[in-house]
Amino acid sequence: MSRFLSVAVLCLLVTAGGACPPGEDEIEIRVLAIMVSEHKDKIDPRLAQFAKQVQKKDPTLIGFRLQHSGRDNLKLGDTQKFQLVGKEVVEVTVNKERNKAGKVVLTIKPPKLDQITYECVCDKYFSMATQYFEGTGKDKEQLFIAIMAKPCGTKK
Amino acid sequence: MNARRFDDLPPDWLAAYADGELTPTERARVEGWLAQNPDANELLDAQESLGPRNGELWDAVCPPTPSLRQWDHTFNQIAPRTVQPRRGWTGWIGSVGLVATAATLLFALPGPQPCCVDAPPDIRDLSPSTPEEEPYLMASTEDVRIISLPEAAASLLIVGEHPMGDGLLVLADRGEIAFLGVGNDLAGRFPALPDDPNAEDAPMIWAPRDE
Repeated sequence: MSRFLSVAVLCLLVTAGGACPPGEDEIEIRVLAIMVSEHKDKIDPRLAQFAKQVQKKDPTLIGFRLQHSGRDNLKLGDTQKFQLVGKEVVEVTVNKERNKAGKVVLTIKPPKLDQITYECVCDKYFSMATQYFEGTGKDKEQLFIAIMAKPCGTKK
Repeated sequence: MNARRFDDLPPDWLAAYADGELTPTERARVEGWLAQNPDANELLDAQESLGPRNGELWDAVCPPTPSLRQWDHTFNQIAPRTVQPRRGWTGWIGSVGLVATAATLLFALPGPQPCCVDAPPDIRDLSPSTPEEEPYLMASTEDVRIISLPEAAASLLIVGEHPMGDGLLVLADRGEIAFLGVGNDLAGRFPALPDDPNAEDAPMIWAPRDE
């Protein structure tokens, strides 16, 4: 029984993870859900550069923490939902293959907003502030999304 | 008159009475006895004269100090009898016995034993003898690819790479991003776009605020 369980867990991990890196015709999409606060002044070190850029626009935002992260391999035309916080998701569609400069065109459907289509360089994140909030008072946090496509080129 | 003797009273009680060391009950008993034995008052007076309440006596008394002659005399009586301790042959037998006992214990008991920690078992002994006893196969980091991960569970990961990777969140700079189409929210409002994406360090989109 225990042997069966171990094999089952292993299969689940490998299957769910799709242990393989993206194929030549696939793009790996990474999505981060970031909760930003005006009261909790703790900043996840991984979000330091992000926090700096956000504070240029809104200095009242002082707390930055990673809520959820996800990734998946998508082919051209594929759409995938990525979990953010609670039941909120963002839909990501690969609209155009990466060009010679490694830029990728993605269409996203964030919470409470219609689609946004943009072209972005690979291996760097595009971010947006949503109008989705959680908590009240000093616990109130705003949801930010950061999305990245990689790798920058196909394998030789 | 058949005067009662000390048979009726513990012999040291009269002295204790004179020194004030008795309990009230005991004192009453002594006083009753003295009333019936008035001759004993003389003895009581003598006791009290030597007791601690006679401060004049004790202040005047001091122990006699031996003279030098007395010291010499005493020392001369002691010195000839003072001898250095010598170990007799029976003492040597005792030592030999101790050495023999130690040697017996040294060779008879098993080798040095760890006091608290058991030696680790030989892994070869744990090899499965049957297919049913095969060890569990654990996936390595290369075997697992985490697709979705709530950050609250990130610290619980045993294998697998965080979906974010090891790096920092680095935003695309100016010139590295272009907005091709932006939809509105449910109220028909459009998000704020950078006035000039090429003028901002990291162009971002801010959804319209719910006022």
